Amino acid sequence: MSGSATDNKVDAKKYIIHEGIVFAIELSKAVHAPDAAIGGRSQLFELLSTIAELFKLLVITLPHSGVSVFLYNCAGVHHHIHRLLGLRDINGWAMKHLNGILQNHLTGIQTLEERFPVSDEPTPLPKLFNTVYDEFVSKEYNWNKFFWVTSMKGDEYLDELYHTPELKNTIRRTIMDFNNRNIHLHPILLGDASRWNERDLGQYEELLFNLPSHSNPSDAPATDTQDHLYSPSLTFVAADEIKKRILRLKEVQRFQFLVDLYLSFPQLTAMLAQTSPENASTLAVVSLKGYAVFSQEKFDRSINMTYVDELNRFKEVQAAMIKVDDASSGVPQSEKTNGDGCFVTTYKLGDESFHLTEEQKLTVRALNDLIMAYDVSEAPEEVFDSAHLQRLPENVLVESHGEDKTFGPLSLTLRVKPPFLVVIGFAAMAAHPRHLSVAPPSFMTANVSWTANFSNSFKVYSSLYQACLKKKKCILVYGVTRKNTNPGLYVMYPTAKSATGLIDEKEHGAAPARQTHPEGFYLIRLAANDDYRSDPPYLLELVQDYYNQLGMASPDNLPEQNKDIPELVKSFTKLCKHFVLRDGYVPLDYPNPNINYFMDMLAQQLSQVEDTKLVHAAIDTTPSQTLLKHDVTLQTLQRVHESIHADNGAALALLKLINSRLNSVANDQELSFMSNSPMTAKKPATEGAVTDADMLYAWKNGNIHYYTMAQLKNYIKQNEATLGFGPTGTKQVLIGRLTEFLNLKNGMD
Amino acid sequence: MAEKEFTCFIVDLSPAMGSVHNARATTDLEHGLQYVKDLLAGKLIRGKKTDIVSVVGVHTKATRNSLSTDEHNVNMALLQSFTHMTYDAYRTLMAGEICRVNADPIRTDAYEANLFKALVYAMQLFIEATPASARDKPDKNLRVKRTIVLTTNLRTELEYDTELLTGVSQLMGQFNVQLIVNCVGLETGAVKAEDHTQQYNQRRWYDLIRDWNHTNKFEKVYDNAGLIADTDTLLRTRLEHPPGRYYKSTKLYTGDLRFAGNVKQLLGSSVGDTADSGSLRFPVEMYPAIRVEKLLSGSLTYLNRGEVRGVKSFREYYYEIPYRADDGDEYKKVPVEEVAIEKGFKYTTTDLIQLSQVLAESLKLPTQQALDIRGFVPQDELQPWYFSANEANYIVPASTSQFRDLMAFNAFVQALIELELYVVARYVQKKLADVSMLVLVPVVFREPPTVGAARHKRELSDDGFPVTAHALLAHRLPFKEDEKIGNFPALTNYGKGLTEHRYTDKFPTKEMQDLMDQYVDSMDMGAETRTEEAVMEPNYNKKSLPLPVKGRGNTVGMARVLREVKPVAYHIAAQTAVFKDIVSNAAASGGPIQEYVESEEAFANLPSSQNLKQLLSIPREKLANNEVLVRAMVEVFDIQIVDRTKSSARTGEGEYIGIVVPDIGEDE
Repeated sequence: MSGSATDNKVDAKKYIIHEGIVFAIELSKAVHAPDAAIGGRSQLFELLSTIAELFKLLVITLPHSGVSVFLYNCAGVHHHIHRLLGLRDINGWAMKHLNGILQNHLTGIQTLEERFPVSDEPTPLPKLFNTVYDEFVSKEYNWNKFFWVTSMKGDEYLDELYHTPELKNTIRRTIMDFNNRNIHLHPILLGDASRWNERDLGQYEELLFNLPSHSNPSDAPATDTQDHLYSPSLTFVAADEIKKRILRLKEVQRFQFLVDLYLSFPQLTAMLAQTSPENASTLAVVSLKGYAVFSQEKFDRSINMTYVDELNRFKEVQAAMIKVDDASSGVPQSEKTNGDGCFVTTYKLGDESFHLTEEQKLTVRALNDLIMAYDVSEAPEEVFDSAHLQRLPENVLVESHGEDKTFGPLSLTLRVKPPFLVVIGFAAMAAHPRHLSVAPPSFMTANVSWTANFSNSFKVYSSLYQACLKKKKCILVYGVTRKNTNPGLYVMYPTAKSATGLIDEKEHGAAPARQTHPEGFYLIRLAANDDYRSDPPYLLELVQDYYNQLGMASPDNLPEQNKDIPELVKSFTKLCKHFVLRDGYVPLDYPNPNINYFMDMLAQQLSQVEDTKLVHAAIDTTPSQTLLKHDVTLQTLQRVHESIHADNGAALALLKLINSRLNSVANDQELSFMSNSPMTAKKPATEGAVTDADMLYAWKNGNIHYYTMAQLKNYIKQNEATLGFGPTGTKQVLIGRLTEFLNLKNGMD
Repeated sequence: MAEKEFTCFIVDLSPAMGSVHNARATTDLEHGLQYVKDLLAGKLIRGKKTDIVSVVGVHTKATRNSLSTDEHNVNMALLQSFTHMTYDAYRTLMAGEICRVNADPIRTDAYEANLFKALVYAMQLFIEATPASARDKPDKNLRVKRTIVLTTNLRTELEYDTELLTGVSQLMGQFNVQLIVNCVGLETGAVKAEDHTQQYNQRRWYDLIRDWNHTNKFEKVYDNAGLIADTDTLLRTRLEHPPGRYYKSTKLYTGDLRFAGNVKQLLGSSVGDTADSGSLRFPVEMYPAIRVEKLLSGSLTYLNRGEVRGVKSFREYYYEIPYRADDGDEYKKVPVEEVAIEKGFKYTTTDLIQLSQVLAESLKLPTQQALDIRGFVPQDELQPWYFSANEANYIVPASTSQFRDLMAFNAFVQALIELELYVVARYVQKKLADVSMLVLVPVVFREPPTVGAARHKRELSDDGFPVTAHALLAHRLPFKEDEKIGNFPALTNYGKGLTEHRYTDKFPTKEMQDLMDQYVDSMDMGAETRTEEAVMEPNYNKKSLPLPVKGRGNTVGMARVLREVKPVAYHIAAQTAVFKDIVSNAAASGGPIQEYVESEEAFANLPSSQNLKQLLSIPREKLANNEVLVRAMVEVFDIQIVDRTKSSARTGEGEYIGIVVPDIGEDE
């Protein structure tokens, strides 16, 4: 924890993902034409309205993104390129502007075709690419995506381009510029693949993604061939898939950590042998990258502090945390300026406290290291070659102990510092205890960038994935994913449609977008035994009483005459089967009602549109109506209820059956319990003298406490000689003594 | 009221304890005290004011106890009267001056106090520590935990005074006392007791404890009134089955788990409609189930010339205006008074909206407390990565449940287990709280039986488990906005509809794949199927001491696998062990902890790191078999350490402009 608060803030700014997205949409007769597959709307309308929707989503998830839209092959503009929205952070104006265009189209004031007429002459591709490139270059986004939406109607042109070396080279150069500026090209091909033959497609891919030609793969150096692994391929998008395809853009990759997965426990000899390429060894390691793909969105995260300045402008207020030495009065001293002393972490143990320096804290943390000790005889001679040691990955250390003058070190330890993961073994996917997850999972991919510690990780990872899928296995691993975290047990779970089945090879490619997950493993942390909390204190007793009433000793040995429970379970089984969700749970179907309501209401505020209908609606509705109207999750519940009652079928009958069965069993139980229970015993009268018989009856039924203090005292006074104690003490004491006496007398102890 | 816990340590200091056995380097006393030391250090670290300890020595040179007369209870001393653990007390006790073997022979007359009399004395101490008003109230007594930890090697002859023992047993029952006999060199399995006295004593203690377990009426609090275990077993237990930290269960929700009700009518209430026979309701309560434990955390202080002082922190508010300064700063900070600040919402980077109280209220969806079932999903079809919440909660029948409710809930959960279904539910904790979607996993509670647990009122089922309870375990499911899957490179070329030749060099060859398949097989852990039901074994507050857990032979599937690697799963316990070592080493050095921490030898030799290494070595033996396979893999896949010197040169040329990776630091 070093560096002042302001430094931290500057750092934090640096880490915010600024994503720049540019759409370049090719205009043609086809994109303007109504398309039956998307409800008679045109493809262009679908595209633009989806981009408007994307705005809304990005505002929630990534407000620092910028979106720009270009339309090319557009008549009446310079180079036939129309810049609809320049690349700027998402803002209210842009959203309004786009919505206005769409509104005008819908109301017929100005249709999209009128507004963006198709030009007779196509825009030269290099020109388009250069324009887009310039747009990116002028802005500072740290993650750039270029979505090129084309129907490739100008096939002939493109074809010509491919066969004209000069043009081809121009495109190549632009693509290389894209790569150098970290601009990722994502072509979206409207239409279907049938028009294309594979060879042509391969050629375009080569051109657009700057792939090394497959005819001579050995040309490129080994490390560079790995780069193309991350290039997307040309994909075709049907009109009705445009929406899904584009909305998936918001799903930005949030990079979390880099980690090495050891397929075997590291062996010292192996580690050292590996540093010299001639030696084969036993160190199988995959370098991986972890991405956060699930994180809970909350709107209050973006609630800031504001201040209105003298010119009535809102200013965003920031806060800096200042730490002050308690004893020094008044003068704030931040960590940095405090020259003499330093801030330390103090631990309090009873009356004693002690503090640890950062270094010592690291020593405590060093327990997270994977430490393997080796006898020196195991180590080959190269151990002492410092050149080898330098080549070890940064987080792997070799330490020698017990130096001997003649023989060198006596023992060596191999210390793998976090982060690292070690494979413990493989278990069936079905055996994975899902309910023990304790943190959002991370998606793991092979690390093929320069940050990787080990080579060929993609191939190893790919084959590990394929082997696990084939055998339906998940991997149990132990380790630490980040430097400062606690070690734990994880499961690496391969993405597959279900735990029991492989992804069908044919189906895999064609599966709907909402069902597919990228290929790879999810790293899922399991709860450690420290993490379990105790069960609610009353539970076991409550359940015990229930079983006692049923005459059962445990859930497994139900008395044979009891037919109710199995029947009830059977009814529940039937009922549950009725309501199995057809698609399972798909997050896409469940938008967060709170965030969406917040954003919708805020958008209204922002646009300052006095929608009279809305205002009226707001006045007329009760909170319940508002809730029903805006909460999608609630609506689904209502639909369940309505569907049950609408067809008046088996489900309703089952529900009624279960309720009536429960009622009848509960009534029977209540009756039989009442008749056997001491509760039905007559309560002692709380007036008048108590006879021995009364007392005995009350004792048998555990009702002595119903007597008043006066009654008890009288009774004891009368029988003092027999009882052996007098009427002194609290009521509790008297009852205790009486019970004890009666227990003894009646041999019940 | 915080729950009080009294622990009395009785230490046998008779001459036999000074002897060395089983090829150990230390005497029986030193060995046995390791467990005591560990418990005391644990209590010191936990630092609970309500956790109170005392130490009694038997066969001490001096006689110092309130029961002693000239003719009774001689040579028994109260070494430490009841106090919460402080470092000073710990250090004094551990210094070796106090807990020291008295070499004087044991007096053969009746004057000498023995271990049984020490038990009586411990009871006396418990009674003295209990307020007079509470002594006669069994209910109040039950709420206090009292434990006696007796350390002995059983090599000293003991006279069994049956009458005395009956009395002790009764008292222990009344005051809810658990006895743990920490035996150095106890006969375990194949290891036979060496000495005749030891064998005899051992049998008698077993008998006694068995009797006590039967007569003890307070099994609600302890499953076993007494426990006799070998020191080595107990020492191993502290790492393998450390006691959990006890948290009072906080109720998170009370209401009905509803199904098929008329939502329109039920809005505003968390209870179902009892009159609607077309819907279901289960009265439930919700409690925390899984929370990630944090390591002992320190507080930030300011150290100046050896003096440690507290630290205050406060916020300074400012806004930035663009400004060109000589030093290259592009922003100027304008300070703002805290009172002038109002809430605002940054809609986009350029649109800032001030949120007045009224506006903020109107932006909140008017939700109401509720828990409703949306539907069911087959367990295999709910992707495991959707279990993405940090916290899981138990949903259990409400404490006010009637017979009918329990029957309905149990039958419902049983049906779910039978069908292998999860429940998808909509949940709002309280009025105006956020809506969340939950997955409810049917689980079975099982109480882990400790060694020596006797068959009580609560009958054990056939496989040796006590009665189990059904419950649901609730995890939050992601919403549409929470899922952010990006585009990742495909790992296979399945279903591409293209011939393979384009990327042949990218994917593993058949030879590689065959090797990997073999490797996966060789590392198979044998967990083929799911355990029949998800079993939760929650931490029990009863186990504030590390006590051995009875082994379970017939568990199958992943549960067994997890149990095998369980030791590494206790990360907090393992790290607490470091602090225990620090305390113990510091006490041994005789000075304050700070002095020790600053000394050179600190951290040099912490036994706990050794322990962790041992734990990790479990699966390593298995891996040795794979060496040939792994060697082949390395060769075929050509796995090499990437030459860092080359790659950094590459970046130096600015070829790679990557996204900046934040060092997120401490995992929250």
